[in-house]
Amino acid sequence: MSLITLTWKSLLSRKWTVWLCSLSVALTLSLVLTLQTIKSSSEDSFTQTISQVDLLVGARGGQLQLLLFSVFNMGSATNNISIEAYEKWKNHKSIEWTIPISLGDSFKGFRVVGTNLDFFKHYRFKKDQSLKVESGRLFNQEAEVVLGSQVAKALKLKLNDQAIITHGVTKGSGVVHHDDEPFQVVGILEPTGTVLDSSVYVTLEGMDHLHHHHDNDHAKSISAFYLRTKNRVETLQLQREINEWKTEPMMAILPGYALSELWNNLSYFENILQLMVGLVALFGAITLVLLMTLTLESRRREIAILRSVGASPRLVSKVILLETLILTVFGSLLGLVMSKVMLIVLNQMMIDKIGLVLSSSLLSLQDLQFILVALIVGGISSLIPSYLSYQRSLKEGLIR
Amino acid sequence: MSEQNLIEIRDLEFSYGQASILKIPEWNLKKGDQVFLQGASGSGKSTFLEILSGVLKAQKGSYRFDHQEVFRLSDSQRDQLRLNKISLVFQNFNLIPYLSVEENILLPFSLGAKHPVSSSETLQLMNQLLQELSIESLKNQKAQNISHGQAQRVAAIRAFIKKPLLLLADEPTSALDENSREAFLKVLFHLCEKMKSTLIFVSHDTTLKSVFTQNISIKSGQLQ
Repeated sequence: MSLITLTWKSLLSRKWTVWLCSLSVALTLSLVLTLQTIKSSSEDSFTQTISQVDLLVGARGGQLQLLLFSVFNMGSATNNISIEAYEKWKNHKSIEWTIPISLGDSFKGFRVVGTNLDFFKHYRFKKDQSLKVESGRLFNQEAEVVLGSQVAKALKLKLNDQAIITHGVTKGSGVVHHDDEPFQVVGILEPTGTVLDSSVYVTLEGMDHLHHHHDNDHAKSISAFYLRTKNRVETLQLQREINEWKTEPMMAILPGYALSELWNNLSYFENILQLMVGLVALFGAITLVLLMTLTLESRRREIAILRSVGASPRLVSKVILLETLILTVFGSLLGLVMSKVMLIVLNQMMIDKIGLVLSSSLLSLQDLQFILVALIVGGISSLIPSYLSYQRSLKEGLIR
Repeated sequence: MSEQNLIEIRDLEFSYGQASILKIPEWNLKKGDQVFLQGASGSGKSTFLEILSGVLKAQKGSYRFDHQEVFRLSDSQRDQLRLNKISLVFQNFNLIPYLSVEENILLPFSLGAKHPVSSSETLQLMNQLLQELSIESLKNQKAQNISHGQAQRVAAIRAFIKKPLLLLADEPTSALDENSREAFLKVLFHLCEKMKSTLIFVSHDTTLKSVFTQNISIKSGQLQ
């Protein structure tokens, strides 16, 4: 029988202690992993939702408001910009491409985005990833709708199902249902891990048609548009031109700059999460040390037997060290499973409430790093009860 | 050191602070002797056993065990000495309840004791001793499920499986009835003879001392 087998059998004989200690490690790690995932997902969601867009353009108003509604589906536009203004800037010599965005409707709580095929052609997220259709195709008619992966999953929708879009962006009674304008699901997008997954895409004309322009095949206005310049150097010049345009009051913002400014404003949120992660980890380590130290008292006799048979104080402390490490490994695995379950439960809630998609990978590099840290912390924590058992073994000699 | 002696003690003094616990000017123990040691509570008996087993180190004097100057050994060397050459049996037999009888017997080797013979021969010896003491059927039973009488025999086999030079038995019969006591003593003497081990048997029960080759008592920390 090896020392590990002896330790394992000793642990099995104290199931309650094992569960308690493992649960303490598991709860700590699951909370740390969950908080860390929320933290990094928030950051990713902010920094990776949109790439390769040089300017966001909307009606004149707040910079933050334009960023939030046009990129994160949060809040709404107070004013629209006319389609004529959009067409004018779209054909500007410095602009490579544009993506028009029209907002204001929802589908069972998910934001409806009116746009055109340029959105699917040019939009990039997570640096250089483009949107891909998982099943079906892109829309080409007014009454067709393409769903973000999370929408299809949450509402259990499949191709050719009908979607009745409501006016306004809230759920519940009092909202106007466009019952007479059912849309047909023609495509479902691949997951992106961003807010795009919880959006519903229709044509600009379809969006406009819903409201009041039944007599016209073309949209009258849009909420905002994204643009890419032919030469990045021209971005600031173009921004100034748009902002100073007299014909229609408009505002162009740099998404990267606005995003980092917003994230800096929200840094207290990040700091609080970081502090919580640290405190939870500290309390977890203290709890483990306390539990292991308390169990030493109940194991006095067992330790004395080992000593009388010939175990040195060093060997006894090695057994305690090994025990704590086994508990930490077991607790870490349990914690990983618990955090994944917690994230699955939280994910839908976060999407519904703040449009945040939590990272859903089964085992990320971050998870492995935190498990490694947990094992190191567990190892360091185990030195305390191990040292105490060593001292006690020296002091108490052979108890009979 | 005389070839015949297993233990030689000279001018040994042990104290806790100012309080002198043990004072032994000279004491020798021959190999193969069976010693009966009696002493009241607080007489220094436990300290004497802990010194003999290498757990404690006296402040003064010398203690030679099997030609080794024990007080000159490091803590871990003294632990090794106990692990390989000295066995202890206590009143409550000190079996680990969640281990099987076999695992309890082989525990010294799990803790690093050297096999006196090859490991397969050790297993053979264990099976033979289990058979001799009529408990071979208990080999895979957990120690917590066996009777008191069976536990004392298991403890005896564990003590002898490493063929110790010295067996320290501290009141192993005090909780037993007369029949069990006699049976246990018989087992102890039989195994001592078989393994050529020296025995120091501590007891309050002076009726037992006639069967031992040497009788000593300890009083106020002094051997008499």
